[in-house]
Amino acid sequence: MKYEAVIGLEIHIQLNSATKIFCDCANTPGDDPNTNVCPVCLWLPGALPVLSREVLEKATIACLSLNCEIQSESAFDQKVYYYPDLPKGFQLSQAHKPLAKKGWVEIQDEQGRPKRLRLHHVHMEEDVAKLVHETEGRVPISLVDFNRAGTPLIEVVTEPDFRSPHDAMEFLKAIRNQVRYTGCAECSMESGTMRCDANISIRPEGSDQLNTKVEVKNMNSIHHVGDAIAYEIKRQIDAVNNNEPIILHTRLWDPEKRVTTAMRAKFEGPCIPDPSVPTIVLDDAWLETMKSRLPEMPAQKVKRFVQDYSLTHDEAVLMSSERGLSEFFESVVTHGAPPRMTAGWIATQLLPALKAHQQTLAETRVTPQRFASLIQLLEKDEINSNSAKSVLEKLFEMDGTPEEIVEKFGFRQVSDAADLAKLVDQVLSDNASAVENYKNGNKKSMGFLVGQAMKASRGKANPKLVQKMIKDLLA
Amino acid sequence: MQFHELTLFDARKLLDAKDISSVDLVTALLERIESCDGEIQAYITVDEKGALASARKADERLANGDSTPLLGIPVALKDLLCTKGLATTCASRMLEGFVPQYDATVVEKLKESGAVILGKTNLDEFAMGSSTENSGFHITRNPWSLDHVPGGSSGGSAAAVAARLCTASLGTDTGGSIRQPASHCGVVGIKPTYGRVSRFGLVSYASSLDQIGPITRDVRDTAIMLNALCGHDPRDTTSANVAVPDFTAALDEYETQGLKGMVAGIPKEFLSVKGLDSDVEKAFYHSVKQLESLGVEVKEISLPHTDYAVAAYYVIAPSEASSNLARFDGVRYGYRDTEAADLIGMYKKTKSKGFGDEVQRRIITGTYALSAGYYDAYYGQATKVRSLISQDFSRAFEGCDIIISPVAPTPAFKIGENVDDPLTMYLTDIFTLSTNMAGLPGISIPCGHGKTGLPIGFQMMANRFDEMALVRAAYGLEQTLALENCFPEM
Repeated sequence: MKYEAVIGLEIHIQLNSATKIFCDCANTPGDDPNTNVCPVCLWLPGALPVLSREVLEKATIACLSLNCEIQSESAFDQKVYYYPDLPKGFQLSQAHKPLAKKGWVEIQDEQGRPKRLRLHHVHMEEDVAKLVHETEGRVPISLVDFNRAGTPLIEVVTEPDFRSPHDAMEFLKAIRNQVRYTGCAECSMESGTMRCDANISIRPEGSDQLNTKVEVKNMNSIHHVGDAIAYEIKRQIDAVNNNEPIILHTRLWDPEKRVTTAMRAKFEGPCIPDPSVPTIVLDDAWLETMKSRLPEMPAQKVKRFVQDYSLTHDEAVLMSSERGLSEFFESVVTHGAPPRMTAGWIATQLLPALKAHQQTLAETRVTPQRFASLIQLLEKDEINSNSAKSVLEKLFEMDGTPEEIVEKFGFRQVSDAADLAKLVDQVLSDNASAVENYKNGNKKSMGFLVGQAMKASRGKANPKLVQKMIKDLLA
Repeated sequence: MQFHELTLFDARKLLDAKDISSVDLVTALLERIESCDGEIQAYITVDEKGALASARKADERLANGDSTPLLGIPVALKDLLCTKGLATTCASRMLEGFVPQYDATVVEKLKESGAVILGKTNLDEFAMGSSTENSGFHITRNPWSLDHVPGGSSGGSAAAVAARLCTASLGTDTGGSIRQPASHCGVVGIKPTYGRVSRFGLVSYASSLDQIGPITRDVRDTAIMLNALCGHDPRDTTSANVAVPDFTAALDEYETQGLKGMVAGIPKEFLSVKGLDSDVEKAFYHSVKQLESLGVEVKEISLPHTDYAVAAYYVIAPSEASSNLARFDGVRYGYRDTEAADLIGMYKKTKSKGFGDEVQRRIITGTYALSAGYYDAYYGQATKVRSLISQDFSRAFEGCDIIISPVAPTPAFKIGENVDDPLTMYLTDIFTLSTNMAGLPGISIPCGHGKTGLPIGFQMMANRFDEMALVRAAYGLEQTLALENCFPEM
């Protein structure tokens, strides 16, 4: 029998608000252990949670970026469970009345067709403390760091619309890009500001039943999510083929052994509306303000880039993949550089150079204005692309406009016909055998001859003019 | 008159006139605690050193001509309120040795107003009970009769005021826990509107019902205490951002305008409950007559869902408690069992040994009511009843200014009489817990004594944030009744 997988994801995203969700402690869990703490986030007796306005705003904007319906009323519940990272014994989470319902994210399926994956809801919750396992002499001990306790999370819960690891990975990339765009979260699976659990079950292909699911946790990258889902699908198909039952439980992905292993039975504790954080009532005016703070999202931007700048779809997707990059691109274009050449040069030259210099667009000396001037010099044939690469390198190293750098280092392209004619004559007479080969029909010799001319000009000759001259002379 | 017998109002006058010092007053009360509290056991912790130091500071300020409403006044706090640097036990073994790093907002406010904290008073463990017999440390005795309970859960705070072991005290009221012990001890106790007083620093029992309020000798002192306690607190989102009136102005209103034109409703369902003591009934109707003589129009009203109040309350309060008390795990503070071999074992043994029977009973009841499959039938149903009770009151207040009733069906019962019968014990809260369910204010003032000499209280309830009506009416009744024999012989 052929099986298909039914997959739903639960994604936790840590918001980057200045404070924790229910107190004024700094939302910087990486600081020295237990330095960002107070009675509220230590959950001491008598302390009461007070919802942060900034967290509510950022959570709302993140939900809007995922096309969700913001609920006019939402509320927090106390989810009771016992674990040392939650000494309060309950987590404040929106179990009954989430901030947002529905929503969707569009991806491309394996065949490149658009596929819309639906969200069930998005809710806010507090993170728990972090356990650190060490040894004291030979005795293993567990320590609790409360810096992370009470840091703000949104949890995105999807519908079981996913059928493959591909769907899940594309979805995670899309959701990461979209939420990052809003500036409300970093969304890095590697640093733990985005975490993903997958609920996986299988069923005979074509069936619409929902079978017992298994939850898989502990994937630290988008690739791990894909690998873990692929492994789990195969494990479940093998189990069913061997007549083994699928039991509702949680499994951990082991990235070393590349397998999932059983962790615990899934526990559902009691849950009660929290009386100390009142119901959150949002009015239309407030929601409109949040909507006005939502930036143009990548999908809209792609359309606009194709329309306004005549980029190809792929170029537009690349230029929109991150908000900072898209803003850089548009700024360069606004400074007068031709859009497609700009996109090409950002993709093939600037981004690799940034990586080599370990810089980001936000901090580099290569400002949109300087980069635009460089592209314009190239467009006007004042420098050739070889020289342009050299100028770009100089832009990283020193101040000054590209024009000044071109002058200072003599990168200007030689396009003067008399100068070039002299150069070409010399090359043709020095390379008689190549000239002979070309005349006998070996077109490859042209490349060699142009190369020799470029070399003789120390890279400054206009290669297009050189080629035309040689062609004319040998015709 | 001896210093310990002074009301807050009289002590204020004498302090401001420099006729007495705060140190005199505090010393007198500490001596009284020393000589009488061995029998009563109203206190869990007496902070003699801290109290005297605060008294000396208050005297310095008084000497400099400074005066704030509570400057130099000795008060006692129910030991459910966090006090910075002073042990806070909730009368539970579970919190033995817990010293908070912060003051509850009400404690801050009392200190800002100049009050001297004498110590922490006894209660039913985590405020769960109606007799103070559920304390994890010791019972408290009723100053009027040592073999009777003082009521609960704020039994220590009520007994301390009645026995004159403090000038005023703070209690908390989740289902009658200020008003019922105030009634049993013959003192005045008010539960303000939910949201009137900040709950920050109050160790939660049932957060949607808990409210802090004062227990005092008379209504004037209650008004003075309310002035110090009420107000919005950004640390408690449920504290209401509404204007706080000068509650002592309600006394002047009575003096100038009386109670003429006020309408008081008597819920017929309250007076028809089984087991209503005849002395209580007699004292109640005697007070009703006094109110009528003051020009109050008294009429019968209906609160049709009264029958379901106790049941709904004992689903909602334990449900909230089961989650609120989950935090006492024995790891960072308080009691920890050291015999268990592993973590889960430690949790289990710590909770089994650290919590008393009643607390465990309510945690288990609440956990059951919230568990998957039962949630809608119990907690869901109870919250619906709660809404209906609120609607009953809203409808009733369309036709009256205050609602009046007894506080409890009987005067204080004997120690041990109800300990093995939780249901009977729960039913003693029948007249008080509806106001908690509806978030309304309620006051208990003494209105007489039964045949056995035990005091009986009279309850008045008002619309949300209308404590002014309560203070005015209660003051009027108090003045008119002019009870003698206001304090137990000790």
